[in-house]
Order: sequence, then C-alpha cells, then structure tokens
Amino acid sequence: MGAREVAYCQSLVSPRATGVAAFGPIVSDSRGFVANPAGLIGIRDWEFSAVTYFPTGGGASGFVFHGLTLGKKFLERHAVALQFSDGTSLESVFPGQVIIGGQEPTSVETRVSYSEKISLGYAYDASSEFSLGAVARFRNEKITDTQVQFMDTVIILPEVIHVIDSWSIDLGLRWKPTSQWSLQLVGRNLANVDQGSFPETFQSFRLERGEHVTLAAAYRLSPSIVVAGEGNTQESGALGSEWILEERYALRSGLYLSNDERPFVYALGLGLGWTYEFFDVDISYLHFFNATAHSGEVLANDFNPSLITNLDLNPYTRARFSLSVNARFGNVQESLARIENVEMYGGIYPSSHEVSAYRPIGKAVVVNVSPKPIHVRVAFFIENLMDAPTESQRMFISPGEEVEVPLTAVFNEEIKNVSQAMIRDATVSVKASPTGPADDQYQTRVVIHGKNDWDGQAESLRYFVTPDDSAVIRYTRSVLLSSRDAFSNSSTELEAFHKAKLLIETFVGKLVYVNDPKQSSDFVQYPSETLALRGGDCDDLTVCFSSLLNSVGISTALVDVVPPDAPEKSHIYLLFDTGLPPQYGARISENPKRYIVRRNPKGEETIWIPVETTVIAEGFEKAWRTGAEEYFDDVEVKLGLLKGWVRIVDVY
Amino acid sequence: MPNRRLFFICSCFLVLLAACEPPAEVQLIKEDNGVEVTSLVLGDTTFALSQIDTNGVLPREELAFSGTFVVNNVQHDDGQGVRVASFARAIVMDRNKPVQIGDRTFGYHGADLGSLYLSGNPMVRREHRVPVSDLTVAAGFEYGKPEGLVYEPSRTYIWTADSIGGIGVPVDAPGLLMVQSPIGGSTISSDADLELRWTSEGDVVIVISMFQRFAKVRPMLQIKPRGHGSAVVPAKVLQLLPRDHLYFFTFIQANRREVSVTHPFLTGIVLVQAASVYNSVVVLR
Repeated sequence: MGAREVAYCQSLVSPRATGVAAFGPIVSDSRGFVANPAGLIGIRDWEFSAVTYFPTGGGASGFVFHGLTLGKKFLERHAVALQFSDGTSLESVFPGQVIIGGQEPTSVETRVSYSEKISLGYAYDASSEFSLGAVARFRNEKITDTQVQFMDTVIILPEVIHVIDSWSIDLGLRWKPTSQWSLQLVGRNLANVDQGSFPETFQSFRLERGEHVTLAAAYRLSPSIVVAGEGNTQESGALGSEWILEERYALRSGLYLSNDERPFVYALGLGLGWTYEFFDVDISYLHFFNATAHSGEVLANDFNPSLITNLDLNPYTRARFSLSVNARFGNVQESLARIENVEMYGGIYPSSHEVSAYRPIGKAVVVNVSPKPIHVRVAFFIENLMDAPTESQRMFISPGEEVEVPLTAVFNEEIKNVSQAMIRDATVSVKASPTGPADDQYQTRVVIHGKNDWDGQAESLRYFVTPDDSAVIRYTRSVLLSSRDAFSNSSTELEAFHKAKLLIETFVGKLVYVNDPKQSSDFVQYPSETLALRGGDCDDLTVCFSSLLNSVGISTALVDVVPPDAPEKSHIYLLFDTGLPPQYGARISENPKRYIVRRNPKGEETIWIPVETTVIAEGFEKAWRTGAEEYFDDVEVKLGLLKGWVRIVDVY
Repeated sequence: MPNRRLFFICSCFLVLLAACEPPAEVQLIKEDNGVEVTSLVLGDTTFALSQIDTNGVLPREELAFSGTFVVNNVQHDDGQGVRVASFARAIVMDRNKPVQIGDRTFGYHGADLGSLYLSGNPMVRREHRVPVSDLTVAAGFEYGKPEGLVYEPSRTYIWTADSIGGIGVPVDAPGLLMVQSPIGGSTISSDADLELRWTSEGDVVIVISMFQRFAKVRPMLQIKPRGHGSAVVPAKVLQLLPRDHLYFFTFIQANRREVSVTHPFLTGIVLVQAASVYNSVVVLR
C-alpha cells in the first residue's frame, strides 16, 4: 500500500460544512472550524453546538452522536474552540476467517479502528483583513487483534491491542482583501507527536501524516450569495455555495472532487439552515454518486487504509443525513456595523442648543462589516443633558462600504443650567436593526460651554434673544403701560417706531454701566440678566434691545460687520422694523440715509432703523444716527453687504 | 431569554438522546469461506491409538466408538514421489477387559470376532498389541487388510463376521483425493497464511499432525474448510504449531456409518468407514 497523508480539508462535524463542501474559506464560527481554524474569529462570544447524523444505505441503524463543539471569543481578537467528535471515527473488522470449534467465542478477527475525537482550535484576528488560526487534533489508531493460543489441550483467543496516540497541528490563514473575497491557506500536519507503534505486520494500517497544503477562495456574488472552491495537494477539492434568504434561511450545495474516487466528482452535499436570534439549526445530506462504493461494505482484500484521507469523509464513508443545533450565548448579536471614528465639530453652546436638533454637531464614520447591505441609524447621547438618544436619519450602506453620518442632539432644559464650560462623555451608537441592541458603540468627549458663552457668530447671538422671557415681558408691559397716554396721541403708522424708541430710551435711562466689549467678547448676558444688572456690553445690550422689541411685536435684525481690512473692528448693531411702508419714510426722517428699506418677515418692504448700541448711553438719537452712518458707509459706500462682509441676521 | 435557553438546552438533549447508536463499522467481506479449527491435542493419555495418517480416524473418535471398521486408500507424499497403498483394519475393543498396570489403563483387549471378511475376502487376524511404555503387550485380536486387497473407488465395501451373527455393514468408497497444496517435501512458513488446495468428490477434513519419534504422528489440529477445493489457514493458526518440525497434512475424504452391534463380547456402536487419505509431509519454519 502506498503511503498517503491524512488530509482534513473537510469536516463533516457540521451540516453547514457538509452542505457547502468547500467550507474552509467561509468558516465563520465554531461550526466545522477544523476546516480552517482562522475562521474561529467569527465567534461572537460563547458558542455551543451538538451534531448527530443518520447514515443511509446498507447497515443503517439509527442516529449516531457525532460531536459537541464549544467556542469562546475573548479579548476582542482571540477565539478558542474545543470539539469532541465521537463520531469522527472509522472502524473496520476483518471477519473471523477462523472459527475455533467447540468453544466460545469462536471468531478470530482483527478490528482496526481510527478516531479523532478531540480538536482544539485557536484563532487570532490580526487585522480587519487577516486572521490566523491553529488546530491541534488528537488521533487514536487502534488494532485489536485476536490471537490463537494453546492452553493445555484447548485453543484460547486472547486479544492483543496495539495503539498509537498522536497530536497533529494545522495552521490556517484567512485573508479578506475586499468585502467580496476571502482567501484561505491551510497547512496540515505541520507538527506531529506520536506515542505508541504498530508491529511490522500491521504497519500498513497506520495512517500517515505528511504535510500538505489546502488553498481555497470564496467570492461573494451578491450580499446573499457566496460561492467557494478549494483544492489541496492531495488531489482533492470541492466547490460549493451558500445562499442566505431573508437573513434567516440558508440554502447550501456543494460538490466533492477527488482523484481517488470514481467518478471524479464523487459526492453532492445539500444543506438547509435556519437561524433564529441566537440559535441555528442546520441539516444536510451527503450523497455519493457511486453508492455501491460507499455502501459501508468492502471486500477485505480491497480495504486500503492509505485511501483514508479523512476519517469523516473517505472511500468508506456512507451517505448520511446530518442535523446540528448551534447556540450563541453572551454578547451574541452579530455586529453588522462598526463605528470607525467620531468627529465633533466643536462645543455645544446652551444658548443655541435647539439648533443641535437639526444642525450637525459632529459626524460618525460607520462601516458595514457584514456581508449584506444594511440600513443604520446613529444615535448620540449625553447623560443628564439629554432625555433620550437622538437618532440620525436611516442611512444605507453597502457591504464593506463606509458612510459619514451627521450627529444631532436634542438637549433637555438642564443644559441651560450649565454655568461654566465643562467636558462630558457622549455615547455614539449605531444600530442596523430597529429592534435589536446596538451593533457598536463609541465613546467621545464633548465640550459643553457655559450658558452665557457665545461663539462670536451673529447667527448664534440671536439665540440669546428671549422675547418670551417673563422678565422681558414684564419690563416692556410696565414701560408701555406707563406711557399709554403718549401713544394715544401718536399716529398708528409710527406706533412701532415710538414704542421702540420709548423702550430703548427708558432702559438706557436706567443703565448703570456699559462694559468694554473687548473684555467679554465670548460672553453674552441673557436679557433678563441685563435687565437685572442694568448693564452690559454692546452685545448684551443688542440682545436685550432685540428681546424687548420682539416682545412687543417689533421685528429686529442683527447687522454683523466684519471689515475685511480690519477684522479686529468687527461689531454688531441692531435694526428694528418700524412697520412703515417706504413711501412714508419722510415721517421718520427727511434724510433717507437715516433709515433702511428692507423686507420684514412678512415679506413686505418696510423701514428699518439702525441702532448702534455702543453709543446708546448717549441716547437713542445718537445711537440711531451712528448706526445709520455706519450702515450707509458699510453697505452703501463700501458695498459690504454685496461683498459679504456685512450680514444681516433676522432675529424674528 | 431564559425560556429560549431552556428551549435550546432541551433541543440539544433531544439530539443527543436520539443519537444513541455507535458509528457503523466498515463491513469487510472475505472472499473465501474460512475454516473451522479444532484442537486435537489430547491430554496425558496412555491409550494406544492408531495412526491418523493411515487410519483416517481421529483419536477422540476412536476412543468414542466401541470399534472401527475401516478401508482406506492412502497416498503419501513426502517429496520423494507419491506412494499409494490400500489400508484396512477392524477392531472391536472389549471394554470389560482393560489392559491396566496399577491404576493406569493402556487399552483394551481386542475381541475375537472369529473369521471376518471384507467384501468376501478374509481379513488377517493378528494380535492386538497394546503399547506399554516402550514395550507392547498382546491383548486379544484385531484384523488387518486381506491379502491382495486393492482399494477401489466407488465400490461398496461390506464386512461380515459369522461369529457375531453376520454383521453386514456396507459403505461406499469415495473417489481418489488429490492435493495440490501443500505439496509434500515443501517448507512452509508460519509467518504467512497457507493456502490449501485439493480435488475431491466431497467434503474433506484436514488433520495437521506433528511427526514424532518412532514414526508416530501426533494430531494437533483439525481443519474443516467451509468451502470446496481450497482454504486458507491463517498464519496465526500455523503459529500454534512448534516450528522446525515435520508435519503431516492429512486430507481425509471419508464415507462413514455408525452401526449398533450386540455381541457377548461387544455391545455398542462401531464406526464403519471407507476413505481416501492423502498425506503431505512438510516442514514448518
């Protein structure tokens, strides 16, 4: 008999493996991991499976316990598995060609048995593309030989047992250069340790264990279909495919090829799979095209151990149905998406926190790590400052692709109580399933500014305008009530102008101080604070006046001026709407340069009055005139509005 | 979740409980029918027994019957050519007359049957001598081959004796037996299986005997092939036999009858046999 190495390219201790045939490159958990130990890295946490099979054809007896597998992933990048496969065995009996007359037992037989009941696997996830694995297989080769001896005048039949125990080491590499391709290289029997021996008579029954290599590849035709092929230096191989339906059902088929078999394509594997949450049920049927050769019976003279390249799958294997149950425990959900990175655009300003509900405060880069297309939602959450995580829009991601998902946040009222800037932990999570737990989480840190902090943008300043504040309303009602008689004599068209003038002048008359704006450029008082303190800088007063006027129905706007040749002279002043149509401008002022015609929020062209709050302490007239001069100079002369360095931000 | 886990655990148990059968073994089918081997080694008996290589009757059979009436064709191949001889013998042992020394029994007296004829030819009456140590003791009578008798295959032989009321026991003589393996004078190895091949009209029994001093053979094994014309004796059976000895492979094709006899000297069953016997003498290494 010619020597031949034992090739473990196919493990039948998994109906999934049996169905796919070319299983090595798509090993994704502990099922059939002997085919490629590097695939063990696909274990989520704990795994446990049990397998049974029912041989068909001649001599079928019933269900045979095939094996148990226990797998565990740990430290993110490591996984181990233990397989006890009682059914991975082959026993053959050379029948009693000698009958000893007149005594029991009478049969003189030789029983040759091979088993490989224990396999230990380990895998290491070296990177997103590479994983490495090793498996140690314990093999037992035993010959039970009935002897014939005289004891006095009778023949006795003692048994002599010869045993070889051995460990063989295989190493595997899996490379996933793209989301479609998965390549496998497995070296078998790279190290062997033997204990025991067979006598010379039985040397031909020993299974050799020379090194050899298996190469395999899998290609994902679509998110739900994968095809695979493999071949080894033993001149055998396989082709197979797996089709996932509705993420729950699997159809599998495969062909087995070997030069040692006739026909060359000698077997067909068919399989079905059903997945329910953490639970998998797989069934398969292994059919041999030459049923006679795989009937479980062979002429004794034709029995050739050198053809046994796999204890599960060899010329003496019978057709079979296989059934397995597999369960995942612990952190069992399969992660479909991973957050690669989170970038925050800046701190959160409590004054403008409402904007965070629709204007992105940052972005998350999310990768689809699954083999199928997914829709994800990304949630952002800061404990105490938010009542619930704020989810993004649903985003589609193709397998292996990544997308940038904008982050928004809906804060609760607590954020307005943040007096000073602080750093808070924020959790960004991604979910590919609307009902399941998050697929991945990412912790980041966010600066929460104090409630009076301002980012210097005119757009942000308007969020300090609080016309509905009770202090503001109380103040304006008080002022207007006390001057009710004066308004009764004024014309209706100028009512808004006079109200505005009255409110501003009244408050100016109560001012205690006006700060230098350079001292507090990033600090803005809320109107209630300005009213209470009776002082502030120009920003504070602008905000306060805007609030007062808005509270009585007068629209306001902020004029943001950033001179391109002197940005340090940037400043903001106020516009308020008189509600007077342009044709009545003369009623405000004979000088048309003292007012501005622009559209109000209703879309009507009206007359607006500029007020420079930095000189408000010198009275309304001074502030109006100064504001008008600045506006004329900046907008009409220097064309700042057209050139973009003057912007008008409507408040309401 | 606990319910789901319970469901899983129960499912696993069901799978395991259902899978109670051991893995089926590969049935290896032998093309030959094998042999049945029986030990012929007797205990420390002092009985004098006839030679299997000529008599064709096993020692234990000889002990079991009250008498034996045989006529055989004997071929002997020791590597020097096949010699052929006809053999006939008749003896009825009188169990009431043991040959004893002390408490040891060495045999029985042979009954005097008067004139005994084999198919009408008078058999030669002679002393029945019982071996006692290195000596022999005359103990009654036995009967030998009639003068000029030549074994004839397919002939019906009949023994008659007036003294016992005309015992008429016919038996058909089988055809000649030819053995192709092992051939006489060859050396065989006990490390390898030995193929036996022969040509016969019916079933044969092969007796392997070890040649001992004083030209005696000691039967060791009886081989009953379960097929016709050939059989394989496994090496492990040959290894039961001491090496470096001369062995007789005695092929016996026999027609037998058992006849009940009542006589003043004899009450019991006698064995009547016509056989073709072929001896191949080999050396076992």
